[in-house]
Amino acid sequence: MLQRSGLAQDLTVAETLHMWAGCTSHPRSVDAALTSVGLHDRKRVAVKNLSGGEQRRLDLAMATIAEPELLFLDEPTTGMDPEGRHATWQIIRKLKETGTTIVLTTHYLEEAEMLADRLAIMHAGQIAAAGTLPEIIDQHPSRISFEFPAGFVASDFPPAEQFGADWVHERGRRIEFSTTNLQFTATELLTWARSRNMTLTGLDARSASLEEAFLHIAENSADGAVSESLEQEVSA
Amino acid sequence: MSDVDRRNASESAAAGGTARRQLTALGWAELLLFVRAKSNLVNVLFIPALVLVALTVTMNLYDLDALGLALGPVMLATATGIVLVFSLYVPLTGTYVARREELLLKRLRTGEVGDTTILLGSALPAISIVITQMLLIGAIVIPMTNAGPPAAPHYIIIGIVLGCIMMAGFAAATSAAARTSENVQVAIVPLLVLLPSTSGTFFPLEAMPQPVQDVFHWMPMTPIIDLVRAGWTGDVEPAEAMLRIGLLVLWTVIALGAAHRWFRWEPRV
Repeated sequence: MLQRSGLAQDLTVAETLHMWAGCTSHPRSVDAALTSVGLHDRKRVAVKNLSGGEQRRLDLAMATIAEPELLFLDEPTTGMDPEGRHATWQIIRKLKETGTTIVLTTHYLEEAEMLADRLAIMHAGQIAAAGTLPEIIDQHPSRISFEFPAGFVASDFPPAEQFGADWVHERGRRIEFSTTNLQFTATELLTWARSRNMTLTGLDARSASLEEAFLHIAENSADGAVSESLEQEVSA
Repeated sequence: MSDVDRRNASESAAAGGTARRQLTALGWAELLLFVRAKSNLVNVLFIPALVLVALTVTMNLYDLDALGLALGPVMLATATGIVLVFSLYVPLTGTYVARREELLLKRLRTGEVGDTTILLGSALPAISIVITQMLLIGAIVIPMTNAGPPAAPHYIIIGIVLGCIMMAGFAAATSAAARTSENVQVAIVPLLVLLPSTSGTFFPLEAMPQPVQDVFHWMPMTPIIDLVRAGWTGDVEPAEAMLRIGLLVLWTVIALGAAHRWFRWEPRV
């Protein structure tokens, strides 16, 4: 992210947008653009006095001044406080509703999960997975883990296949399974434990999520390079 | 007029309208920035006043009558040189560096605006200030020296218009030599010294030894000074005037070529 995102620091918000509108064919009104990003009551504030999040929203107002059909957003919420981030998400949803096709890159998985119709995970410069959210998640198993009480050993447990799961690992008294049918595995495991009067502490059943898929892709890479995710959001 | 001609005509009319709209938008924004920097306002009022005071003092040091010069045209020509350097070249160099540092040039380039429009738009306020100052100075100097109306005003207009373009070109080229806004003060020094002192701006060339005059005759700002002076006195052969205009055009092309060759749109890393 650019520290100063290409704005004249001494112009006000409205002046900046007026300049940009004058340099753009078929712009919408400056007031409409300001309202859409929630900066209308900050229109007379100098750019240098805006918070980082407000500057990014001004950025967004400039990018949408001509109501583009296709919009590229490069990490639009990076460095924003939670309030600014929510406001930006709201703006992006509105743009999507009005039929704008948006290609958005982000490091925040929840942002991708929430906004994207289609997403792609980039790893080491390559697209490692792509599709709709369910398509990507379905390629990755759910996980269930627990600790067995003292007095038992790992070999007291039946093979993971009996619970419809795969054995992932045991660390101390914690065992982790992976499964493509979390409900079945959880039911079988808990039924089995009750029949032995065994209390499973720290029980943790997690559905497959984008985070799981993302970590899975990162872990499976030979070089372990830092991953970057890119998701595409396509409106009808 | 064929359909194609008509279409081309309407397209170029639309393009002209777009360029005008873009220049207005960029020029207006730049003017707001100019006004917001308090030091600029001081310069606009201070420079003409300083020019007038300094000129009245220094011109009395030279025996202008003996050199065959009239005070009014000499003062106006000198003022043109000073205003072009201090109100256009110096601030515009700083403007280009500042807009580059703010990454504003980079952002503008991602949009629809052409490169020339961006550079010209940023120069518009400085150019209008040059014209305003010249009018102010003229309004004071002409009655003060009984200079009377110019005999050949078109030479003056050509000299000032080409002078503005040339100085804007030099400013764009110089901005490439300044890495940051702090370095602008250093980067401008060579031309700041060279241009006025070789053109008869600071002192009339006629008061210098002949060999020096012969060299300075061909320097970039000399034809501007000559044209403004000659435009007032009317004391110039058309052929000689054309030669001076030709020289000024040549320097303007060189300045724009240098700008084209060296101008930087993004900060150096």
